[in-house]
Amino acid sequence: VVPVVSTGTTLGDREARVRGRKKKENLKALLFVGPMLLIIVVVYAFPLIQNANYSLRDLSMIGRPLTGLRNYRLMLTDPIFLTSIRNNFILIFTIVPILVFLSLALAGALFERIRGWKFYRGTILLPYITSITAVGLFYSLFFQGRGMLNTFLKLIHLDVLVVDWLGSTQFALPAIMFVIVWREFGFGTMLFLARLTTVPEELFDAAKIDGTNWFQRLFHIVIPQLATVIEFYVFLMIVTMLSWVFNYVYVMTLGGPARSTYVTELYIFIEAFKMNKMGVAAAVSIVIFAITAVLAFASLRFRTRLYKEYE
Amino acid sequence: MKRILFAVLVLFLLASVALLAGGQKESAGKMEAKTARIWIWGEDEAPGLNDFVQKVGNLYSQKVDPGVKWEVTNLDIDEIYTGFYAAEEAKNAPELHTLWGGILGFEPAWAGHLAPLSDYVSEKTLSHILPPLRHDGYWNGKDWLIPLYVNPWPLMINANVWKSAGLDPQHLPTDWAGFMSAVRAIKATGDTPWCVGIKDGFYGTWFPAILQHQLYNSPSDYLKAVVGIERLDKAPHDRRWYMVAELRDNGAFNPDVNSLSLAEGQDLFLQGNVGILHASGNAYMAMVAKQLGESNVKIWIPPVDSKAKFAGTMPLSSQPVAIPATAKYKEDAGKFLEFFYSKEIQNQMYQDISVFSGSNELDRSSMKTDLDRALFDLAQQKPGMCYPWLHPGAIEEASYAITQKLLAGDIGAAQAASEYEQAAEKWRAENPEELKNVKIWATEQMPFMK
Repeated sequence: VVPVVSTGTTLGDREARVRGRKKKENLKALLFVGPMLLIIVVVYAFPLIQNANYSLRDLSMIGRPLTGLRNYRLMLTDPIFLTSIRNNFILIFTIVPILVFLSLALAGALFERIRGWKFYRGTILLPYITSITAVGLFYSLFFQGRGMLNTFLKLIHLDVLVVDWLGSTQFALPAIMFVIVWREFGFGTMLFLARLTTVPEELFDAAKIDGTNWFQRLFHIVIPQLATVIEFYVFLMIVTMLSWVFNYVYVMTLGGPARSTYVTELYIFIEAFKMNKMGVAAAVSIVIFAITAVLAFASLRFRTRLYKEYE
Repeated sequence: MKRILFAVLVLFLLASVALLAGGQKESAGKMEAKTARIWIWGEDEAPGLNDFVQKVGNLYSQKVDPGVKWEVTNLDIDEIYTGFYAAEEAKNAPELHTLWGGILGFEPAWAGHLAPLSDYVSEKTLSHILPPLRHDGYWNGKDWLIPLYVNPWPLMINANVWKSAGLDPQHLPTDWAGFMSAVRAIKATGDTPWCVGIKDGFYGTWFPAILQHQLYNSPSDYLKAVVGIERLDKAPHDRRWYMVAELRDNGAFNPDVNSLSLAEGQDLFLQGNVGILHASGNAYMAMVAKQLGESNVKIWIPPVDSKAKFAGTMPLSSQPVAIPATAKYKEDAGKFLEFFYSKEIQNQMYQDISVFSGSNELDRSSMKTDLDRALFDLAQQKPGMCYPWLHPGAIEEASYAITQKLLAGDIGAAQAASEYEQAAEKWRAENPEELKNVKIWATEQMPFMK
């Protein structure tokens, strides 16, 4: 027996109406999203698909014949690629923790209004807004054999520490890492500081009354409160270390000496424009895209879980 | 009235036909006017090159064929190959296009992107190209590349620095031991014996090239090792690593050799406290001579104790051009090259922009400076081979990375030679088709190389 409600309509009718309204709303949403989706497909998906297509071909030959997975095999058996990807991971596993810790500590310190906090807050973002090329050029001159650092070391009679920083296979990568940290930490600091200002002050006041020290407040209030922002920042920095460090390397060392500072982006550039192996370059960019996509997906899942926990 | 209408109609028809015929004639005229294109790179090495080639294009239109108008486009260095392949893919390549010499220039030919140049340019014209330069554009019985201009690569010395070290710049060392003792003497004064910068990779192969090329009787000697008929880690092919290691151990190079680019390394010479520079190109050498005083600089080929045919010769590289496979007016490209290689134009190029051509018809009496006369004599009488053109890009890349390791002191000469052979083995294994083509080049007889 179909239940009859006072309005005279059946439950089935209502469900159908709700379904219809939902369908209409979805259609409306699609109408709004549609143009943007189309742009994304044209400017993003199309080149991506084309790149994937190129990665399976020999682009230097007439007719661009299909070569299967040859470009991927060449990539994976090339020690230069392996050095490049290893260097990217070195950057991820060393720089990202340093950046997170440094940014958190500085954001915490600025939030607590240490002496001169206004000055620090004003200047901390300066390296980040300076062009990477300018920063790279400055530090090239700074770290060069006859650069400012060595001149200073000689001046204070520490000649024993004088090294051709960018010309040494041992020191070139750490020198670049120093520059990346110097430029990037300001952004994290400001990001964390912005989130901290929305945390209720009572939490900090109560903790202070309880006699906590700065580190305790950092680990028990700041970090848990900032979890979602930290996760976002970590994801952003991982992607940066994976696919946004070309400029530093290109300006400072060009991947040398002896390829000790090669990163995957530079590898793509050299393969494409110096070695004329566009297919291999396309294969590497597909691999980098895949890694980034996996990371983005994991980050999204993690963030969703965090939000659910909060709810 | 009908008659008038009929007359108007006839007039209208006649006028239409006349207009159409005229239009056809005009479009036929348009069809005849060709615009041929030349895409070149070289302005950095030979300032004024662009304008000069355009001038030759205009002269061609005046003197040879008024029906062809030449348009010259200056390429960026990174566009040389990407621009070429893009144009070929679009089947819209220019009539003449700059490429690198040797294997890097043949690669597009092997992929079917070049037309054999010798199908369009006469043997008479081609026979005027200096033999080592012609070698770098000749493969499988045909010429594929022809030099647009030439870069000499000798050493330059600063006589004052040599004198300060108690050395006589008029009597430069004639053997390797003498060379090494001169390096030590300069080093002892606190000056830098030899300034080099290899950060950007250009010099990884180029600067040892002036030592190694002297050990060969012909480019094929080295090519045989590149393709695996001989080994790169065995004598004489491994000698370059030992020579560079010995130079390093004697303190020949500036300590920041690995962190300076080619230009930064060369510019150290201008500070006046460096004994030796591996120079490149007439324009750069003229600038150096002007800054340090023409009487104070001297051209030198370092001694390497070799009795081979190329001992004492000066390496020459060229910036060649080729005729792309999809070029529309290949015959015109050939005619242009015939015109460009006339004695008159070749000498005019030196007069206008002070660079040498690859022709043996260059006139010594037209040389403007003593420096150019010295370069001319070496280029014409002792033209050396261009060692870095004789291996593929992968080996070149490996070469400079290994050189950086060697100069950083991370490895010794034997290890460097071994790594170089490994790089070549990898290239051979991964590129069987290219290897086959390079083997043809390594073993073919070239009549002009006698």
